[in-house]
Amino acid sequence: MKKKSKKKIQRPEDVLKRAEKLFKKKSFQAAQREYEKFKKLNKNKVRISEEVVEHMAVCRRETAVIRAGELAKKARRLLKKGQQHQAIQIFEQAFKLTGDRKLLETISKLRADSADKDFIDSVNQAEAAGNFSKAAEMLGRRLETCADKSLLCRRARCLVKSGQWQQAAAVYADGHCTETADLYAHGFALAKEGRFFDCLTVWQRIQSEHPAFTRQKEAVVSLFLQEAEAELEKEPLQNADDIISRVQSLALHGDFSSAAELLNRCHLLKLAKLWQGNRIDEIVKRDVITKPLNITVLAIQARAAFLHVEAGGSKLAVGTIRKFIDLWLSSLFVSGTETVREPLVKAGLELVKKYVGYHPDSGGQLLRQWEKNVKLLSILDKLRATGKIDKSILLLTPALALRTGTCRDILLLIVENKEAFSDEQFFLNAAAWYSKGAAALLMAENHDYEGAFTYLDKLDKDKNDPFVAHAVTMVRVACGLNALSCQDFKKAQTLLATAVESLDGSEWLLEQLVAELDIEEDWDAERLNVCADILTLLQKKYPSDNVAAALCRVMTRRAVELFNTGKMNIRVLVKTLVTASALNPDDEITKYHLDGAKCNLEIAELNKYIDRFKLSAAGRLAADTQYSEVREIFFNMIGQICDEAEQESFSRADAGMVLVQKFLKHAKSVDPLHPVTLRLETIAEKNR
Amino acid sequence: MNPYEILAVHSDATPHDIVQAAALALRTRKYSATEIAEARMQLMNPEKRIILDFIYHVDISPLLHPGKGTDTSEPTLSVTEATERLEYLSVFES
Repeated sequence: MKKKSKKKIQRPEDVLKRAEKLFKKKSFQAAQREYEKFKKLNKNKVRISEEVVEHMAVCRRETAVIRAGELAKKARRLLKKGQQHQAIQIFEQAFKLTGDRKLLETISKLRADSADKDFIDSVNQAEAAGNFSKAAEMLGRRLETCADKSLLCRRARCLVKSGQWQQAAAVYADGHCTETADLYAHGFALAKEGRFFDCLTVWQRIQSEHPAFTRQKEAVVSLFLQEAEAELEKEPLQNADDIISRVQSLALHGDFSSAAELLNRCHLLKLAKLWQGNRIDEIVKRDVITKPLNITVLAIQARAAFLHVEAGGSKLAVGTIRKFIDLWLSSLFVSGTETVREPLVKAGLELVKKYVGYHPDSGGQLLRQWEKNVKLLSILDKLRATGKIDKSILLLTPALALRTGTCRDILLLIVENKEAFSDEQFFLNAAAWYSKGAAALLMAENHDYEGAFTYLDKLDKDKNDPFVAHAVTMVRVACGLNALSCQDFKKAQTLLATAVESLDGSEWLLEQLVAELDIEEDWDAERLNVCADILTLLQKKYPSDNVAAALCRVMTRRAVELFNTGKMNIRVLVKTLVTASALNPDDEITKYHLDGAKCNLEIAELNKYIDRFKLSAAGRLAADTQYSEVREIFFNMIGQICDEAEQESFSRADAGMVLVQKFLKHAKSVDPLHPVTLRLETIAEKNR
Repeated sequence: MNPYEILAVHSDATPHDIVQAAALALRTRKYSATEIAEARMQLMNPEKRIILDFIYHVDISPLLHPGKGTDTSEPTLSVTEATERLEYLSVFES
């Protein structure tokens, strides 16, 4: 017989007992299940204690917490898979179970993120569709509630792309957007608004050499310059300052020639404004000279320099006077008519002379510079008057011609009109001052001998150019003479000796050199050595009476100085002076020194003979000499012998008498009527 | 001091104009009597006048409106046209 399976009937008491047991084991989920089963079976049959009720509540709570934890885990897994919406639902279920505040925060954040994502997606879609206006609008709405910098910049860029330049520029104005794309968009909006300077100011911060950007920047620069030009046309003197500062702040002049031109024009306008305002000192300080030269600028600078020197008097530096000379004379010969030129040249010279009165040390150089420039400009002006010169060429002093790049034009004119120069030397000098060697010559003229000397190296490649070669020689002479005055004798010797080699018969230079080498007050032996050496070279290469006379004087001074300081004996002195005298027999000073030296030499020889008791030789010398001093010394010595003879101090009387007789013979041959001769005769007579 | 400015006269002022201007300048008292007398004396001296004319009168108009050279390049666009032609570049977009 088949057993029939029986379902075991559970009693509520047993179920509750099991539930309590599980509760005690802290198996809250299992206990909860048993408690639920008990509730179904019990139907109020068994009375439930308060303790059991409390256990049931604990189990419910703990079960919910565990469940919520599981749900949160699940939700996080979904989040990782990117299923944000489902994750939020699961988090919500978990929150319903526990009411956990943290879960609520997570849910809120996720909801916000989700909303942002949707928003960004919408903006992206709008942008992708080219609807930047809509995108800007959406971003604008969002920005009303959230101050997000990235959204702000994105909106600004959308505004630019939708052509809303003004709004875009306003958004960018606060300076929050510093990304390159934002800087570009900001500048672009400003350019479209017609604010070209502001655009370029913003674009200065972009470090890019992208060709398209460079092209666009150039286009904007061009627009800025056009606008600035228009401003200048309207109010030239008022707007110049502002434009200068704008162009300089953009640092455009290096890259854009038109900017450099504009800047240059503004500077000139500024100069005109300063002139109108009588701001003479500022004009002089600015020292604006354009290349090529602007005649009006030269006129202003020259007049300002005149007024500056007139007012400044003794306080001014030599350099200021030099500049005045160049500006004033150039201005007179560039634009002044011949009728007014003369009194103006005179007025300028008076100013220079007045300054020289305060500073006599600088007088020579300033007056030489004045004279040289007047001479050069006068001959060029003469050429202009005869129509041999291109009227468009500006007649400038070498210094200004060099600064304004007109040296070559003037040099060509000088060379082409050589026959107009009466003097070959003047022609050569004039050409040298406007040749490539002009810079070195000007340095030497300004006493920058070191600079001039260094500059000579640069001229080496042009050494075959006769004018450059002449300029080099002139510089060498100037530097050599300066070294001489600075007592750098070695350098002086080298430079001057080299210069002498290349003088090429330049009489003017020769004269200058001779004059400088033969200075009357100069008694420095070392210096005289160099001078004598150089003059000797000159006399060998270019013999002339003038050089010979100078060499004679220098040799005399050197010999006398060496003798006086014990560095030369009397014999060499006489020999040197004889040589010097042969160079210029008419030189009175040499003759005088030679005479004295010869006399001293004979006295020395006489003393030597007397010391060695060579009476015949002494007597012959005294008889032959032309110097009374020598004879007197001879008779003094005999006089002493007479004294001894009269006092009978000789050891042997006969020996003394022999001596007296001998002396008498020599004394008679020198001067028979000399008192000492007569005295000797008396002694001889007495003892006969 | 600029004597023309002190007496407020032009470079072509006659001696008569200068005397009148000096009298007026004394009345207006903008400059001292010594300055006015000095300015009057300078402008009345024909030799000095040549120098003063040269020094104080520079025609600055060539600087204000320099003549533009013949432009052989293509005609340039007006600022408005050129501005309109500027196109947004996307080279800096990430």
